[in-house]
Amino acid sequence: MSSSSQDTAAPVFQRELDRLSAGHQDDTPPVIPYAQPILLPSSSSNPPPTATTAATREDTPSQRKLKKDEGSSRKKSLKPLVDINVTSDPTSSGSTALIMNEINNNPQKRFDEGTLIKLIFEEFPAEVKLPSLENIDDAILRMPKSGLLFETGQWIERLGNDMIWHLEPIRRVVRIPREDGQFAYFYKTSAGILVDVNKCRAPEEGMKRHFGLRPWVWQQWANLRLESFARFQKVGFFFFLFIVTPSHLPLFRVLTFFLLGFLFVRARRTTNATLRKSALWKVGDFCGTFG
Amino acid sequence: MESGRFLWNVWLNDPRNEEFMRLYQSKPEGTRIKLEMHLMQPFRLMDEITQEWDFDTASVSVYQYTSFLVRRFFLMSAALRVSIAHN
Repeated sequence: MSSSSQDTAAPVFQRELDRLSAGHQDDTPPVIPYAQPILLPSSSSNPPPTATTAATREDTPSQRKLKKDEGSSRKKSLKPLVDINVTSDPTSSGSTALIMNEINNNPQKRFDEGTLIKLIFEEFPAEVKLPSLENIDDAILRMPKSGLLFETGQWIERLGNDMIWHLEPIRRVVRIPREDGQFAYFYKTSAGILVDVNKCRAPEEGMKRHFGLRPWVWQQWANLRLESFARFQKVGFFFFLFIVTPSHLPLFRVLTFFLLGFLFVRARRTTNATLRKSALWKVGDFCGTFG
Repeated sequence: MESGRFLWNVWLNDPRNEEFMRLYQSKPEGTRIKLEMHLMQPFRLMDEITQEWDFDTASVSVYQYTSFLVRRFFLMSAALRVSIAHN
């Protein structure tokens, strides 16, 4: 980082640096705007952050009530994949939080160039797009103590709107209070998207390295089996004309019989006598009496 | 998802699948949970589509039909041509 960029960054932190160098005259902790969300309180005495999204603010009260009712009923009907039993606060982990805590505990420490670069790359990790082998193994083999399956720094796959699984590292673990008093936990990946804890998965390549390909063959089989049960329009030819059920099959057999007869009668007029003596044409004649 | 879990347990505990079961048991518990979570994602997605997605107020058109079922491309292109010609 050049000196000019340091100069531009200086006013942002000047107030905090002054506070730190003053040695905490007052007991109030320094306010650092961008680091505030990750320094969430671990105890339950402090009030949780309020979750008011832009969508709910724009809606009318009746719509909001409708949405609320629908959401609550759907949430109750869905069972979560993992029963979250969080023993400690997972949101307090993270290297950025560690750096900020270290600065808060040691006022003598100042923002130097290396720390700034580290902080910026933690926030905007545009350069680091690919995981190493150790990252993948870490995402699969290590379980965090918080009770969630993953924690900050581990790589997960999330399903994007393009229906493709994207491999990204977790940058934050966010919790948002729900209506029933519990917390909803989300992973914030490097793309800046909040991913539901139950709607992500471990990296597939690493899983295949550890377990082989057998479970994925099973998955294909199970999906095909489920599809064969769930599919509609089992009889597939006339579906654009009628609502076809298997009980209509005899009807379609008879129709096919008449259709064949019609075709043979049409074809007989254009064939010669030797062809007409063959057994196939006799069958056609028989069908043609009905067509 | 229940059916997926049921089939997974049947396959996992099958005596013919003893070799994989030994590999499965050799891994730590968290990894096993992650594997099951990984494999259940298609079934979870099906549950989500049937229970969470809102089709009642959505504007479903012939294009959605193609996007869901991949086939009927000709119908979709014909509708597109008609709509363009109409405009």
